[in-house]
Amino acid sequence: MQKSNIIFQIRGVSKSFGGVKAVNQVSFQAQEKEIIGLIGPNGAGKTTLFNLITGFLKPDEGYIYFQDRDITNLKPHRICQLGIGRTFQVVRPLSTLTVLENIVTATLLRHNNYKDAKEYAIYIAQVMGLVSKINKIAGGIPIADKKRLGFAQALATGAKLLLLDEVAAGLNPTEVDEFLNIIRKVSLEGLTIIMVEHVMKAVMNVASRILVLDHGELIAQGRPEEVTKNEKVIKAYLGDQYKF
Amino acid sequence: MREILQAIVNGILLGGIYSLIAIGLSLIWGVMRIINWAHGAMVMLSMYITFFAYSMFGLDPLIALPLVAVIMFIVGYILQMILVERTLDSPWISRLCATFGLMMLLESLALLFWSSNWRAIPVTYGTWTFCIGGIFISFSRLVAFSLALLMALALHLFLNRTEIGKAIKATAQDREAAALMGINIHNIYRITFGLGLAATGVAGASLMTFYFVFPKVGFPFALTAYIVCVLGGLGKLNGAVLGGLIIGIAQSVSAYLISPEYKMAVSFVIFLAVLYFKPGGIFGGVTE
Amino acid sequence: MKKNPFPYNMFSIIFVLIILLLLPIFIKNPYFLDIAITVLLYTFLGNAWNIVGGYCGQASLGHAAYYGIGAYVSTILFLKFGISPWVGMIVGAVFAGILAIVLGYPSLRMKGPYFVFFTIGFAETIRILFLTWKWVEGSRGIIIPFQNNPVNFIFFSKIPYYYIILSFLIFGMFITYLISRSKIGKYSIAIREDETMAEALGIDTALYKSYAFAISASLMAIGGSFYAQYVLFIHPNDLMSLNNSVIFMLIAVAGGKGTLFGPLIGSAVIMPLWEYFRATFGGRFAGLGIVFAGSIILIIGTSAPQGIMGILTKIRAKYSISKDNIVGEEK
Repeated sequence: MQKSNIIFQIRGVSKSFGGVKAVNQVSFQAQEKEIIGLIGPNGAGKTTLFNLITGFLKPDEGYIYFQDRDITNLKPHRICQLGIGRTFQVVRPLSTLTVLENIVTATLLRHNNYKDAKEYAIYIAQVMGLVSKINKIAGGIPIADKKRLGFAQALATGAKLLLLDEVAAGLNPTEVDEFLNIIRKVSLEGLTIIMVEHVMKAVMNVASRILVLDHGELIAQGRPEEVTKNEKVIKAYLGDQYKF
Repeated sequence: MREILQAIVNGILLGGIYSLIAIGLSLIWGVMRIINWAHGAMVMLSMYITFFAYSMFGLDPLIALPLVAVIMFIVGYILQMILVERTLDSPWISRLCATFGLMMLLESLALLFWSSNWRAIPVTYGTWTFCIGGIFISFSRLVAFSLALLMALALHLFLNRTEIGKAIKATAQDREAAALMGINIHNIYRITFGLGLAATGVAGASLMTFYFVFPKVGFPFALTAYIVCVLGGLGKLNGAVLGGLIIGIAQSVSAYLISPEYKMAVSFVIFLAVLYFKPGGIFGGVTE
Repeated sequence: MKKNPFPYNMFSIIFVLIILLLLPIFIKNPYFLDIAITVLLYTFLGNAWNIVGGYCGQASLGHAAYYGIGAYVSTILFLKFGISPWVGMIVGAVFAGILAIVLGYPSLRMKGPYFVFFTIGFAETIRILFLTWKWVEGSRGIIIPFQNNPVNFIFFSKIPYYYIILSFLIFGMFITYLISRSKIGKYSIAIREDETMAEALGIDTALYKSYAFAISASLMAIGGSFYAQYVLFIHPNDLMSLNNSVIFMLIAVAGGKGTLFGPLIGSAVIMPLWEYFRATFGGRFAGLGIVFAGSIILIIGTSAPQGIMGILTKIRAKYSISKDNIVGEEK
């Protein structure tokens, strides 16, 4: 197998909240251009993990590396500047601004000139299929478009690693397929993607590797086919009552 | 030495009133996430009501007290219903404008109707003083202090032992869950606001036994109450009690040791220090 | 429809500007001229507040402190060191800007009401400090001796003051305009809308809040220096009061926070009435002005959060929708 670069590493990271271990000694790594799916039952700690990686939470222990740089204790804006972009589970557009202004706010990170920032923002809008909506107020567009916008913003910051938090939730199958296509395209262009998903069909179809989180621990990782047959994984989702 | 002890005792007595005012503020914040910038004006209002109960009906403030508390509860309930409710889902700056505007309105209307003259009630027990070990304790202040603590205790029992009280606590924790469980959120909010103002009613009536009222009297009390809330932790009622006593003592002692002008400055320094080092306050209240 | 690069009606702006420039020719009565100067001054101050409060969303109720500091710095430099207030004004502005960054640092992580508490506490502390500080005459206030001399920024007639504050205002609004089109402005707006999201987009929220604060405080200080030279008497309670801070916020919010012309509209509506109440009614009726102001703030809070500009925008939107229906589908 061709040796790819390891762009992201997380080692032994834990985080507790008042005695409850939300994330427990999680370790894994990601290679360039990989699409990794992060699945697990509700409350498994997936969003907490994202918050830890992107600097919104500080780990109690462990290390996080991005492009060989220790980002464990950096502030969120710094981590974004270094090349990690994310979406939020509950979409957060800048509601009183237009769609274009929303994306420009993101492109301003890499383009100091307002004109350039705007041009690049329009390009991103084209990639995400939002061009017809660029002058609409972001607060008033349908949820699928808000998700596209969030994705667009994360892309627009020039991210090399994209953390997607349940992009498929609440979308109909056509919209989900559109997103998957964009994810595939974007990964081919060199981005690494880690996506949290509940919609199994979505993630199994596009990810090359799956990580399974349960009660804060990484209980399995491997190719989609392997993971679906893994007993521990099945138990985590369905509980002990189901015997095989 | 004795003077400092005297200052401390005075501080504790006044602190009790600060605590009571702060409890009302903290309760409203804890349940509805609203800072009632008109809280001081409410103290002023209750003081005026107490005064007029005396000047028109000859009622002693301590007798009028329960009445004032009930009136303030109703005022609170209605204000919540017609005013504050409209801002619940607005950005916090709207809530600031609404309650701040209310404060300005109340103070200026008071000035208009009742002029800036100081009004006081000459109570028969106004000059009664105990002397314990060389420390003088004014009867009125002691009564006011006791009433304040009684009211605090009553609120505590109400919140923890009654159905409505528990509903209030539930709403404070998670408003959507409470609604899903069949609790009428809007009614809870109105009751809470009413209770918060009832507390100022008790405080105001108590104050009239040894203090005087004028339109802007609420301002320094309000400012101190905010400081107490932050010190004790917004939303934590026992924090408000403890914080009130601490600030009361701090103000009294610094007025004695440095000068009375500095007493607000000292309170502010404490407040700034708390905000910087431990924003959640002593008991780690809600910081969101 | 191609988005208008300059979204303001140039015609009405020039019209208003001409009126403002010619005003002193038509208004000879010094009383009314004084009101006009007050309106312009408070527009300037409201605009300064707007930068950090409206655009960046950090609603400070402590801005009067910077107003007072500006006045005191230029006055002290003038009376004790013989430095012209023109220079002192700049020094005051720089000093206020630096102070805002340094003292504002702890407040950068405070949210909502805690932040407001902090600004109130900060301003009150500064006020008490100045009240008790002997070197700046504390509670006696400082009188600036009247020496009619442009170099000393003192004029006999009100007219020069009028044009000076008008130029300051144009300058201040120009700065706001530039900011709103720049990275600082876009980032400030993002911070106002959603600080968490702003961080996730790579915005150093602490840094940009500091920028907004520094610019805002500097402008505030310039206003303070102007006030000192206009009224020739400064006192901590006049300058650094919570009342003042509230008025600055009120003007911007009532007019429309986060908009360029909001403070102008707010000031033009509120200040003349305020002055009228203050001058006409004394004693207990002084309350009338505040009844008025309080009611406005209350109504804004409950029904019109975007202020007058917001109402105007809604009216215009309704009007242009019906216009579009007549004109037809736009490209």
